[in-house]
Amino acid sequence: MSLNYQSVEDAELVTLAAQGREGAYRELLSRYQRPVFSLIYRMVRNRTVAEDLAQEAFIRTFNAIDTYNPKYKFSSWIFKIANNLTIDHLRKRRVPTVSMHGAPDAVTPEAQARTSLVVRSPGESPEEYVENRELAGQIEAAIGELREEYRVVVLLRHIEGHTYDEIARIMEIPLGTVKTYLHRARAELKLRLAEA
Amino acid sequence: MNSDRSSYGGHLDDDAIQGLLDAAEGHVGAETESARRHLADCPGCRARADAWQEVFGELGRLRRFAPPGRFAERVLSGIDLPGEAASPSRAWSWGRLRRWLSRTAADAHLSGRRLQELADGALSRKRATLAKAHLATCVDCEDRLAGWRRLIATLETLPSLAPAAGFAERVMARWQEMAEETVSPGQAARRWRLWPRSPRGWVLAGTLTSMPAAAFGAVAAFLSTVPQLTTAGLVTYLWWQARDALSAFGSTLLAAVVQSGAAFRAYSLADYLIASPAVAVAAAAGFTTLMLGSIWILHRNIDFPRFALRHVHS
Repeated sequence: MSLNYQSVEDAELVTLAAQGREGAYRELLSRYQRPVFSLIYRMVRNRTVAEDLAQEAFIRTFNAIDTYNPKYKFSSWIFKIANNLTIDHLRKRRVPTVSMHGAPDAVTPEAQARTSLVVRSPGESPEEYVENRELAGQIEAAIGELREEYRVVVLLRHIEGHTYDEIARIMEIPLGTVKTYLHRARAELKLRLAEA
Repeated sequence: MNSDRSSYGGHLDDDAIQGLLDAAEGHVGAETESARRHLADCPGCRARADAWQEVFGELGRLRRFAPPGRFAERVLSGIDLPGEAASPSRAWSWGRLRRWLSRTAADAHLSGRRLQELADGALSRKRATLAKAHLATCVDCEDRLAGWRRLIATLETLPSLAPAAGFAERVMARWQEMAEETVSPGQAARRWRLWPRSPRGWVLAGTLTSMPAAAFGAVAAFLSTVPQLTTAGLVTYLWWQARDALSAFGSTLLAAVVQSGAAFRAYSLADYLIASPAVAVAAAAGFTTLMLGSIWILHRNIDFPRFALRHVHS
């Protein structure tokens, strides 16, 4: 008898997945591929890297599925894994949080074009180029200029819709720090949008 | 400055000089005219009057401070108007409460953080009520709140970005590929031993398990063709053969032990230990320690492989 996984809640899906049901894994992947990828893509701002990191996040999640604590939401858990991976990647690669219009020290138009994050890379398909341009809007540019911690809290709160408590759990920081990060991040965004 | 009249003899004292200076502003005293005449004739008193004049000038130039904003309204809100108070004590407490409420909720502008949390729906009910009470009367805070609401609304309109088509399939394929790569040899052996995984495996396993039965059946069929051989005779023959083999093995083992001298050495050691209980206890303790140490080392070094990646079956 085939089970309709779409109507099953996350916690039960995790239980079924831990029993080795491939359909449960596929359903979890289907539910979270978009939000997880979206978060990572806005953090690293490179589609190929984002897909690699998202894939790694899912594989780590699936491998550790029997260690999942049902006390917390599955979404918090997978976002925590994705966030840790992304932060590790950004720190290893030392990706600068530069403007979509170029690095801060880029004065000439040529330097700005060279350092701009929306510049089409040699290995990027035309389709990817068009999609990267989606991140070139004013608000996306302003988010891209935020420091990593601020960017994560804004994305988790206002795009993924997590509560402050969930964000604290995902980022493993105190609730007060989440509020402070959000407050500062939004203040920076407001300032940058006013300047634009 | 000294205000003692006697110390100056017939000269003007400090009060008289200050009186003269006040008189210039319209405060005329009884001794003013005589004092003025003395001042005109006495250089010493004139010098002291000049010093006082300088003090008066400094005091006159002091800046006037303005009261804080809405000071007048606060004063008025604290006044108990006639007819409003039923009793003096009740009116006094109500006035204080009203002033306290007006200070905490209505007058203080909301901080940026408070406004953000209100716009984000993250403020507690109590704080939200207080904030709204202030917003009802403060256009400035209302404008700032609208700004935060616009920012949050803009953020929430950002789309969720999708990975390239086929992403889920690639993840599943990669995951299963990794699972195949990392299955431990022990797990593979256990799976093979427990259960054949293919039709060919089933055929092989069936053949192997049926061979002893087939061989036994063949021998039984052959023996049944010999007319002199009965079942009881066969059992007796097999029993004799087994007993002779066991007896020969025992004799050989006993002869080997006696010839090697091991039995003699073991007997000597046991005799020595029985004669010296302290040595026996020390030997037992040493042996136990050695065993426990060995078990601990084994426990720390034997890898219990965890099934890092599992095969999935729908």
